Amino acid sequence: MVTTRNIRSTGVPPVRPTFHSPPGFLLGLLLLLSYFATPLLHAAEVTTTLQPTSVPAGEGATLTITVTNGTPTAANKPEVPDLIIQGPNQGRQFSNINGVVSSTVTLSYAIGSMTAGEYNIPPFTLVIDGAEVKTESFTVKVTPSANQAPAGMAPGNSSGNPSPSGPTLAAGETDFGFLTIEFADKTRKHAWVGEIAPVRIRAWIPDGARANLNARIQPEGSSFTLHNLSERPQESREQNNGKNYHVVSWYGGLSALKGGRYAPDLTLKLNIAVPDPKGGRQSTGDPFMDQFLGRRMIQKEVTLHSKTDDSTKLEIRSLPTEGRPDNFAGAVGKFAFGRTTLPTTWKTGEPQQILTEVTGSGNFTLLKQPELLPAGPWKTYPGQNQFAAGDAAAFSGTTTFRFSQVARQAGNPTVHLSFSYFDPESGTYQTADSPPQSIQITGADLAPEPEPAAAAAQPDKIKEPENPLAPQRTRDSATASLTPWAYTSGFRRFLTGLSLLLLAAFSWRGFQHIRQNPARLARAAHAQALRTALSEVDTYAGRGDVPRFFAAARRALQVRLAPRYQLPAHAISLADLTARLSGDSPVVQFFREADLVEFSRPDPNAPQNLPNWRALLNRAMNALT
Amino acid sequence: MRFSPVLFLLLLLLLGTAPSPLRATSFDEANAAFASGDYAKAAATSQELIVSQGSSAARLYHLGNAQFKLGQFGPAILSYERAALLAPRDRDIQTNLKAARQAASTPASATALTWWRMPLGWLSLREWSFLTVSGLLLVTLPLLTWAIAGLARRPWLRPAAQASLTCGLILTVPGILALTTRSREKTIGIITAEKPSLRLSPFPEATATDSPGTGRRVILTDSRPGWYYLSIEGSTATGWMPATEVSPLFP
Repeated sequence: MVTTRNIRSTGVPPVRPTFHSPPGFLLGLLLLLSYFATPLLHAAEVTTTLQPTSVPAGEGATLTITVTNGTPTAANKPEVPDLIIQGPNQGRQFSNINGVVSSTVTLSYAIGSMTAGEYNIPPFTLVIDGAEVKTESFTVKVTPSANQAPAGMAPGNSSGNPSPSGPTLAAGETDFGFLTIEFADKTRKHAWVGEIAPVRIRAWIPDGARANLNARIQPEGSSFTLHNLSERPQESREQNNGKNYHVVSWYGGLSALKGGRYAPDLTLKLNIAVPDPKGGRQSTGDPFMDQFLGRRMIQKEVTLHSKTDDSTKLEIRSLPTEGRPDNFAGAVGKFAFGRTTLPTTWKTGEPQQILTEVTGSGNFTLLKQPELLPAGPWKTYPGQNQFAAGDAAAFSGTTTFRFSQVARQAGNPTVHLSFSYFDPESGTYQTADSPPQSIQITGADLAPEPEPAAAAAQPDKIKEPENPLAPQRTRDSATASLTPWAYTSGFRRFLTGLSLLLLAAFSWRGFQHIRQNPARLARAAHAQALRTALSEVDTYAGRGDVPRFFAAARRALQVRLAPRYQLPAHAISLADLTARLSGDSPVVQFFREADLVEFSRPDPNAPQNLPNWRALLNRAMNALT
Repeated sequence: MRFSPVLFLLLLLLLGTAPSPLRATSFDEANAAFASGDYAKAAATSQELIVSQGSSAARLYHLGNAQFKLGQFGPAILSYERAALLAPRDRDIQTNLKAARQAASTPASATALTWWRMPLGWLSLREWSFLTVSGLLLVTLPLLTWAIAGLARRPWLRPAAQASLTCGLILTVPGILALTTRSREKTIGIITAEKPSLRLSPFPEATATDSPGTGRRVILTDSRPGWYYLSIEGSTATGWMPATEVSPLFP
C-alpha cells in the first residue's frame, strides 16, 4: 500500500552555502588558486608529431607541437625553400586526472610543397614561460601528384608575368586564340614510333573573351594519337606580344604512329565571344561590364589549331628490327624493376603468387607482364596489373603486376624476372632484370604440357595447339532460339492464359455447384409453391369462389408451416395446429373456418364474408412470418 | 480422331526445328571452307547462316572452331558457350570449349555447383522449358476435366487424371526449380575483345581499372547505351566495358 503525505513549508528559508565567514572564503580561494596553479608547479613538456610523413605534391601534412604544463608565448617557424609552412592554429585544454590538473597547449601547422622531394624540417623555436625550447626535426616526403606536370616540364605560369616560352605569332592570328604544343624535352628533335612524348598543350584565349569548350583536344590526321589528357586543366593569365591572354593548359602524351617528318596538328573546338574591336567604346576588361555597358561582343564557334611550321616538326623514327628481344611487346621508355616479391618455397603443381613493380616513364600500356627466367618448366598464368600515374599525362608512374606461376620440376634454381623495352634516348633495346633469387621447389615432377610454357607467359602471342579440337560435324542440327522459351514474354503469356483458363473453369464449377444445391432447390420450390397458392387466393377471392379460396389459402398456410413442423405440407391439419398453437391463434381460426366451409354446405352469403376471411388469412400469414 | 493440343504443339515444335535442305548448302560450304583451311570464310559463312536462318548447336560449334583456328579465342569461347546452351551434353562442344579456355588462359566458371544443382544442368534451359510447359499442361488437363465435366460422374476418367496429375507434377517441380535457379545465366556475358579494359565509368576516356583476359565469364549487372557494367566471375573486379568488347550469352 502506498501512502502519501503533504509536506508543508515551515516558513524557515533554506540554508545556502556562503563564503561570508572569513575561514570559508579563504578556503575557497585557496582551492581555486591551487587548481590553476598546479600546472605551473610541473615542468613544461614539449612533444612534436608529423602526420603523415609522406604527402603528394599540393597536399599538406600536419605538424602538431603539444606543450604540456606550459604556455608558449612565441613560436618561430623555420624557413625551408619550396616548403610551405602555414599556421599555427592554437588550442588549449585542461584536464584533471585523479586530482592532478594539467594543461595542454597545441600548435598545429600545415606543411606541404608543390614540388616533389624530401624536405628536412628544422626544429621550431618556442618561448615557454620565458625559456627557449626547440622541437625535434622531421623529414617530410613530398611525392609527385597526379595533377603535377610531367618531369622536365615547368608548371604553368600563374603569376601573371609574361611567359618566357610564349610563342611568336603573326598579326591577326590571335583574334580568337590559338593552341601551342610544348614538348618536355625541347632539345630532342626526333621521336620513335610508339614513344609517348609528354607535352603541354596550351589554349591561348584573348583576355576579356568568354569561351566555352565544346569538345576535347583532338589530333588531326592519323599520324599522332593523344594519350591521357589531364582532366583538370590549369589556368593562368599571360602576356604575348604585349597582349594579355587567358591560358588554359593541359598535360598529355603524344605518340606517333608512323615514321616520317611532320608536326603534330591538334585542334580544339570552342564557342568564343570577344569584344568587337570596332565596337566604338573602350573595353573595361571585364566581359560582364562590357556587356552591361553595351559594348558589342562577337560570338563565334571556332576551331583553334596548333602551329605546324618547321620549328614544330618532329622526325619520327621506326623502331629498329635488329636486336629486338623476343619478349619485347612494344614498351618504349625507361623502366626498371621496383619492389619484387618472389616466394622462396615452392611446390610443384601449386601456383605461387608473384608481385613485382615496374617504375619509370613511357608507354606503360604496352608494358607486358615480366617473365620468370631462366625459361624452363614453368606455367605462367596471366594476372592483374595496376598502374599508378606519377603525373597528369600518365607518362611516369608505377605498374604493379600480380600473377601466378606454377613450377613443374623440383629443384633449387636461381631465378629472376625479366622484361624488355626500347630506350628512346639511347635508341636501343634494353632488358631489365630483377635481382636473382634462389628458390626451393619441392614435390614430384609434373609431366610436360603440350603447350610451350613461353606461349602461356605471353597471352598475346598464344600459339595454337597442334590439334586440340574435336572433329567437325557433317550434318546440321535443329535450329532453336538461344533464349529459352521460359525466359520470354511468350511464356509469361502462356502461364497467364493457363491460370485464367483454370480460374474460369473453377468459377464455372463453383457456379454449377451452387446452382444444383438441394437445399437451395427446396427453398426455391417452397417459395414458388407459396407464390402460386397466394396468387390463387387472390384470383378466387376476386371471383367470389369461396371453396377454392379456402383450398388455396389452406395450401398457402400449409406451405408456410411445412418447414417449421418438418411435415409434408399437405399432411398438416387442424389437429396438428391445435396441438401446437393456442385456440385463438389466427392460423387455427382460419383452419377452422376452412374446415367449416369445406365440410358443411356453403352459406349463400359466404362471398360477402370473403374480405373478412381474407383479413383473417393475412393475420395468420403474418403470425407465421 | 479427337484434336489433341499436346500433339499439335509437339508437331509444331518438330516442324520448326527440323533442318531443311536449303540450310544444308551453307552449312556444307562452311564445312568445306574449314576443311580447306580457309577459317575466315568458314567463320563468315557460319556467322551468316546463324544470322539469316537461326542458331543451331552445330552451327555455333563450327563457328567456334573457325574462330579458334583464327586465334580469336574470346569469340570462340562465346560460340562454344552458346552451343553448349543448346546441347549441354555434347562432349565435342565441351572438349573444344575447354581447349579454347586453355588457349586463352581463361579459367572455367568459378561458381561451384551444389550437389542438388548439378542435375539441373544436365538438360538445356530449352529442354527444361519444354518439360515445364508439358508438365503444366499435364497438371492443367485433369484439373480442367474435373472442373468442367466432373470426375464423379465419369469414374473411368479418374485413373487417367491421377496419372496425368502425377506426371505433370514430376515434370513441373524440377522444371520450375531449374528455370528459377539458372535464371542468373541470363546475366552472363563473355569478353570477346582481345585486349579488353575495365573502366571506372562508361566513357572511352575513363580510367582503366583492370584488364581481364579474353573469354572471361562476366556478370552483366547494368547497361548504358554502348556500355555494360559488369563484374568478373571469380574476382572482385567490377567496372564498365564497351558493348563491343563483351557479349551477353543470350543475345
